[in-house]
Amino acid sequence: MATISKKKSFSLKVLSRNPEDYRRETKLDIHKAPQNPETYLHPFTLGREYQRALNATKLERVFAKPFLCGLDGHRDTIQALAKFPTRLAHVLSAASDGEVRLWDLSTKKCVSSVAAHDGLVHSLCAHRSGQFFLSTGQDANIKFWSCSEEGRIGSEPVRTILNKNVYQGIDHHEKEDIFVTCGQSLDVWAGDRSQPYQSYKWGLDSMHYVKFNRIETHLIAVAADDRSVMLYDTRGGSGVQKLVMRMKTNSLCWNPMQAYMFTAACDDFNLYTYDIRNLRIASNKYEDHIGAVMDVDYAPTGKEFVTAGYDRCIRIFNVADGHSRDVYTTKRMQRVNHILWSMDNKYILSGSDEMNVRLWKARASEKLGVIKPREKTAFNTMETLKKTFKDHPEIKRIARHRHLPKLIYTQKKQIREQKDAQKKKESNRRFHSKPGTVPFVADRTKQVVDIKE
Amino acid sequence: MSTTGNPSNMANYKTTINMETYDGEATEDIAVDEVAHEKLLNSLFAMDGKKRVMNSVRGISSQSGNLDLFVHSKHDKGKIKPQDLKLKARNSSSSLKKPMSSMETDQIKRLIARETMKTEMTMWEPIVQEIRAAPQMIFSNQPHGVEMRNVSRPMGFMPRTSLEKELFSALGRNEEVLNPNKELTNAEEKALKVMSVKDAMAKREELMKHQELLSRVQIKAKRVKKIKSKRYRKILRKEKEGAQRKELEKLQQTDPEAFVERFEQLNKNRMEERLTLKHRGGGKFARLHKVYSKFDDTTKEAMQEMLQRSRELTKKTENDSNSEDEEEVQVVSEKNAIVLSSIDSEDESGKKKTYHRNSQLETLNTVNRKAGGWLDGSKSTSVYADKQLGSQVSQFVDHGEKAVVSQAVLSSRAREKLKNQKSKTDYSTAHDVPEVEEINSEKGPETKRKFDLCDMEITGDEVTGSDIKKEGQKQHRKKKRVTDENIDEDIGAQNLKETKKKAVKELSAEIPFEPKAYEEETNERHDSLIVTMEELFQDEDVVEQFAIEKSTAEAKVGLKFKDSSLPGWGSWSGADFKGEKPLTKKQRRAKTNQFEKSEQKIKQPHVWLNPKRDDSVRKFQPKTVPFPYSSLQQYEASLRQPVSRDFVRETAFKLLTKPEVITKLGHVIKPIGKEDVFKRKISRQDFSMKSGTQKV
Repeated sequence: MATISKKKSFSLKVLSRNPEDYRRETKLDIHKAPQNPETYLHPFTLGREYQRALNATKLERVFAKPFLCGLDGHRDTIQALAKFPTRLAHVLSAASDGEVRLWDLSTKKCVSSVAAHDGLVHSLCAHRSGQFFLSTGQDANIKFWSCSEEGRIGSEPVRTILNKNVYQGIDHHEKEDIFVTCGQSLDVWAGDRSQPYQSYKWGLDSMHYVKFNRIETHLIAVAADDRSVMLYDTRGGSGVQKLVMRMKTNSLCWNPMQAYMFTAACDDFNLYTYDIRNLRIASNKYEDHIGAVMDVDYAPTGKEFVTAGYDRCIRIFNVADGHSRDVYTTKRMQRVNHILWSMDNKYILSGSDEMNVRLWKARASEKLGVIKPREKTAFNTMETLKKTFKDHPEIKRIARHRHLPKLIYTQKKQIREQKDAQKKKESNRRFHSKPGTVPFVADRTKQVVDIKE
Repeated sequence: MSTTGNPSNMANYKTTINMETYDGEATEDIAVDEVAHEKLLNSLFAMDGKKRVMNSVRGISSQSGNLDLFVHSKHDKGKIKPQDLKLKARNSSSSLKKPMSSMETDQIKRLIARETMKTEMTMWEPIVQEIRAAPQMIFSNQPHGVEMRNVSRPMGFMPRTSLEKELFSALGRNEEVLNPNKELTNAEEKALKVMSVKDAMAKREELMKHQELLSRVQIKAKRVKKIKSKRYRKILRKEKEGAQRKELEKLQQTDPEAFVERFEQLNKNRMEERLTLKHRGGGKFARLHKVYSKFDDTTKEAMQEMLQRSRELTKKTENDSNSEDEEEVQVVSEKNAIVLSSIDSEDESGKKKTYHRNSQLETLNTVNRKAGGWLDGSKSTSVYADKQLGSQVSQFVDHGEKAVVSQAVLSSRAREKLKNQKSKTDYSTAHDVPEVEEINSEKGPETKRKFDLCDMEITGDEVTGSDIKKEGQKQHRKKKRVTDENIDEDIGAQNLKETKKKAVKELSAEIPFEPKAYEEETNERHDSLIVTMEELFQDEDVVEQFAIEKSTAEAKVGLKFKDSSLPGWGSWSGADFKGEKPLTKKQRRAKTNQFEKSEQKIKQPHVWLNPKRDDSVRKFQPKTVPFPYSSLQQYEASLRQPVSRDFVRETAFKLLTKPEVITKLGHVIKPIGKEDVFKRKISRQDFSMKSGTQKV
């Protein structure tokens, strides 16, 4: 007798598929999935892509493990870090006890070390050829060190220049055999001469940081102790321009892709990017640090830079944004004094007070090593999706979420409140006074005290 | 160092520059104006009160040295010309100019340096803008990893050892060995040379023939493969099967082991066939046979047999899987029994109930009118359907077979539902059941109507379609007598009647006898389940209920207007009080319009639109239009463009998911090179090539 009763309005759907539809017959058999991209056939595209973006964001946070290793071996605080223009794996670091070490990043080991100076080493830089590096120290010497392909530092310096004054900063020219030192004066040295062929002085205060422009190679930017940043041209006999800011500039870095842009790491917790043609207004201001910014280094792509903070964290900024895109901390990392972005745009090195050089990934969740084409396309898709949906609150929240040390978390909140209060006060004042008496002043101009010409 | 930023100082610099650079020209100017200058000097001395000491020697100026210089400077002409001897004033300042201070010179130098820097840097402007705007940057000298290099071919192999030499000589002499630089071996080449034209032609012809034959076979195979005729396929299959059978017989004699194997395979096939439940009667063949079965008894039997078999096949699985259902069924069946026993008693109170139902129907009609007639949409037979229900119940009572049980479940459930609402369905069922039972006492499983029809068939072919119709109508009249006695000719009843008639007509047009084609039975049962809205809602005031529900929902959502103004607040008075500006006409209209719109949305009489419906979604939507977009439309459009591989074509996918930065693993990224950039810039202008990507 009939056992199944059929009712037309009722249908039971059971998930059962023919295995032939989805199973490959052999391992090498690739089914070309039939595909029709007509929009009306995919009514849930937006929802599905949103979900994918959400998942990608979550996965990004899951895989965000930026810390790679700590390079320990120094017996005093790190005073300087330097990268070679020609080598990827080798990095130099100098400590307060006068020791310089050369690290191999591929093996994560110290290749060689040398006691370079009596007292602390102030600054390091590599020669443009990559065969030498230069160091200045508290003993007022400038020393040339040879460095083999394998990373062996010569036991004795190739050349030593004895000076009367201590030089605090040193940098080498990008193309020619010229290097520049700063201290009581800014000296430009060339070739084998034992005297600087050019010496600049502008004001009485000493200078502590110097950097060659890497594109327009004759330009030099110097940070001085009188809260100023000076620009010099090696072709002329005197400086170009002097910018005095409210607080001291600790360090600065030229953008390697945009000839006239440089970023100054300032004591007022902020960084400022300037267009050297107009120093009266910063082209961008970067907030987020809750302590003085000690060092800054650009990514070789010129799109991002990394900063070292006195607040024991490393922050990565997009050049176009005003706030950091990422923050790196570890429990034991103390004040970060020096930072480097590797030449292949993949790694970041930080030197901090507690004698450690740390190696980080530049993008926290990036997969290292060789990536297969399929993986690559998948990553690209995910990146695009994340970018498309980045303004959706859920995705934004997940992408922004960081677990920060209590100090940073509370301090940041406090600073936020202070800023809000200031803003409020200003707006109130503006509201209650005669129109025009309290003008709007751009945030980017507030730090500029004077331009000397 | 002092600040030197003020404009007056700036002006100073400029003048000094002029003084320095254009000194030579100035002397000439002065020479021209010498008379005026002399005059001026005299007047100045006169003011002072002292007399100017002038050289009185005639013809020679007081600054003779100057003249000498002037004269001797003209080397090209040895003579002194008369115009040279003209009196000439000495330069305005007698002493050397005071050198500028180091500060001033520094400032000037800086100014020059700044100007040059600005001009130089502005050259970078377009490049920097290009870099900033570039959607993709590739940091690689050789983006594709392709490099052209001269191939260094190794030297040819030279045999050195004795063994090698021996081998080489042996192989070198062999004609079958293929030389890497040649396509054919020596032997082949020789053979080619040896072959005459005639032979070659013959061979070629042969080859072509062979090719043609092959292609013919192929074409034929293709054609045969495409034949869709079932008959042809059947014949083919039969042939195949015959061949197989013959083979099998042969095998039985020759190779018993293989035979057993083959036999098992066949059995397995049969089992598979059975598993797939092929005997369901759904195929074309089966359906055709269904049609024929009314003319032919043997086919009828065959059909029955087939269906029986299918049922047998499916029965077991059903038993296994639905043990729960069975229990339920049993419970229900008990209930049904009770219902049946109470039928008689209900019969007595029939008239009372009819009256009650009438009144209910009227109220429902009024409700319907209120509701705008939307209840009119679905109406169908009720009486006819109820009869069926009754019959099914009787089936159950009579036989209690498992197969029927499931039907009974359905019907009884429906009945229960209806009964709960005290519908007329229940009532009429109660009346119809005994009647049906009278007729169907022997042949339970069939529905009453079907039974009637089959009865007619059995008695002979005298009864025509019209007769059947009449029969049906008679029955309806009977039912009408029972149900519609006290009803006025209202619309509902009219509809009922019409639909009843229709149903009967349809039935008479159907294939009359089909005892176990339960598919159609179920169709009918399905119809029976469609109950009029009147029946369903007869004793409920739907509209009122909805109004109540709506008001509660509104209260829950909190839509009611709350007057938050404090008493007296805002109604100021006094000497200085000017009063609020009255709204302009436009404003007032806008305000009222807005209010009305919002009210309308909410206060549609029979609709409840939940204003908080989207709240759960809103949480996941951006609150404002994000930065680069200026309007919501723009932003939405940007989201609407899918990028995943599943939704766009491959090329589009690749373009859409281009990474912003491409770097090469282990590749040092150098800063942008000045020479390269400007060179490239020029070359690009030459070829007028432009692309979105920026390669560095």
